[in-house]
Amino acid sequence: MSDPKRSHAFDTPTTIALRELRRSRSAIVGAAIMTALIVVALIAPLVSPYDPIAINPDVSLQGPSGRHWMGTDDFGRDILSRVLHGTRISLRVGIIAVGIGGSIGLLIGLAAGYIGGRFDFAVMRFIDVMLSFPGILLALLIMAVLGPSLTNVMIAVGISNVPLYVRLVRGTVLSAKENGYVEAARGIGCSNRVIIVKHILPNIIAPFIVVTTLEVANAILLSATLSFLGMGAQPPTPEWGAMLNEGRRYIRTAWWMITFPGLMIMLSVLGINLLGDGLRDALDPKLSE
Amino acid sequence: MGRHLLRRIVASIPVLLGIVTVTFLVMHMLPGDPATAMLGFHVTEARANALREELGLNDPLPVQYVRYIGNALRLDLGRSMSKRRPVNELIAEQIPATVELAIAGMGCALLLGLVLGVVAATHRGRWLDTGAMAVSLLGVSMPSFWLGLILILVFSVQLRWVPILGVGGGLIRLILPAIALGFRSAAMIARLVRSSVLEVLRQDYVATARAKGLAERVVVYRHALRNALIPVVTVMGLQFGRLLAGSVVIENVFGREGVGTLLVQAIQVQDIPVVQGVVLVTGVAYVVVNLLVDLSYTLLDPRVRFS
Repeated sequence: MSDPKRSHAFDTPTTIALRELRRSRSAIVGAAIMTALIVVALIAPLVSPYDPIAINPDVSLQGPSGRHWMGTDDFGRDILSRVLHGTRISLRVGIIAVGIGGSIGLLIGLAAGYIGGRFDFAVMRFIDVMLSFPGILLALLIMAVLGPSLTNVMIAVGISNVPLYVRLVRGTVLSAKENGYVEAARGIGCSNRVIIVKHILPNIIAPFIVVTTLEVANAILLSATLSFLGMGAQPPTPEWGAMLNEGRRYIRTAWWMITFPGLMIMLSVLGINLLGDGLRDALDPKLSE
Repeated sequence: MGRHLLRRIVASIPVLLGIVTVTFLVMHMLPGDPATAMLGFHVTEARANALREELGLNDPLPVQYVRYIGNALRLDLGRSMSKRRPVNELIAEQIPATVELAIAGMGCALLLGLVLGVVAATHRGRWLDTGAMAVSLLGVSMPSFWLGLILILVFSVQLRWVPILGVGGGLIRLILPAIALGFRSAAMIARLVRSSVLEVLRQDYVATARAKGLAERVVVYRHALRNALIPVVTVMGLQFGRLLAGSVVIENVFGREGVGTLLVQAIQVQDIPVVQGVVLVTGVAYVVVNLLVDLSYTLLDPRVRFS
């Protein structure tokens, strides 16, 4: 236990952020949900009672029972096993999509903010236009040309994320580069690479982590939506959105087919949102204003 | 006022032009040949080339671009490959159903958002506040298409209160899709209304109203809520655009007709002109709605005009 009288005057930003994070009840709940989901994703093949794609017509459309806790689908596949494997797929899709969007956005945002001038102007007008499209529309437009597949979903969701990151990074770079220490670094002859990596990038890390966390939730939602519309994961992949799409045909007879995959989507988005909100308050109070 | 209006309209022209450009470029920059995409991969080269010629895809890109803009300005969005009809006609037929759904969704979002937000703010720190904010957190985390399925399961399959899909008459068949579509926006509006009402309740004029001996209900609804609604109006534009885009998936869930259903069907058969047309029209609608909301905001809050 920490001593309340202890002075926090010399704490590092990381220590302060961790202390704030531990104080936030929602962040703790969010972190607990996310830890559980990540563990499930890692050990899904070990703990799944059945093969998620093995067809067994003898047990098709059975309700939840001791043998199949979440019931079975029209092909007799165990929903629990499919939901557990789906955790793997959805988290991977969310993280890779945000990885694509975040890295492209980081590079373009850094370049626009650091170089400035006409380049910045041109990039930002393009980004304004991209931002005037709702994300799902941009993703659908890209999916229309790339064709349906889970890889293409990651690309489409990633690209539709780029404008958000460009705006965030560029704004932070613009204010960071006005700081005295950047002027000083330039004065003593530091190269652009050193200035960007050592003096500008550290300013971006906090808001970048916050936005990235929250965007993983949006990416999971958007990719599940695309799969639900039949444009993402294809059968028999146990992706949550695709499972809901299969389950809707049996809505009159098999409520379990549409209930559990949806609950998992909601739980993961809820977990990430809670954690993201806590991280925002801890790392970047300016963003929460 | 006139100058402000003109400035805002002029400022949206480059964005509109940008939307046309992005719709045009995405189709040409991404890998794959639109002609092969439309006809299928087993098509002969001669047939693909004939279609490329017909669509003008063999012309230099700048020529295609200028022609595309010219056609878009004349509302000529090309012909659907699968339905063999002009795209603008197809879209025009579907717009009323989508706008009807989006308006119903907005109404639902506003009603639910306002009630939850005001209840939370006026019962700050009590269980009603916690409950309202918990509902709002669930609303933000719940996929709209899943909520739609659950509403069908509960109200159509189990209780049999509402027809199962987009059949049956009148307002009743609009209720479930509107709730499914508007719930996420309601959750966001509720959070905004709560913080906005709490902010306004701290103002001096509210203290004066209370000191005059006005009933708390009058203070909240007549004095506080009116000013607390200003930020809500700004968000409404953004939310309405989201609802228009979100109707793509909700129409699909409830088997309703509309621009979203047209788009999904077009993507499934790779009908590129329809996809381009729908994205273009929705993008333009999004900008126009935001412009209108911006202007109404100016009317509501005179400070904006002079800043």
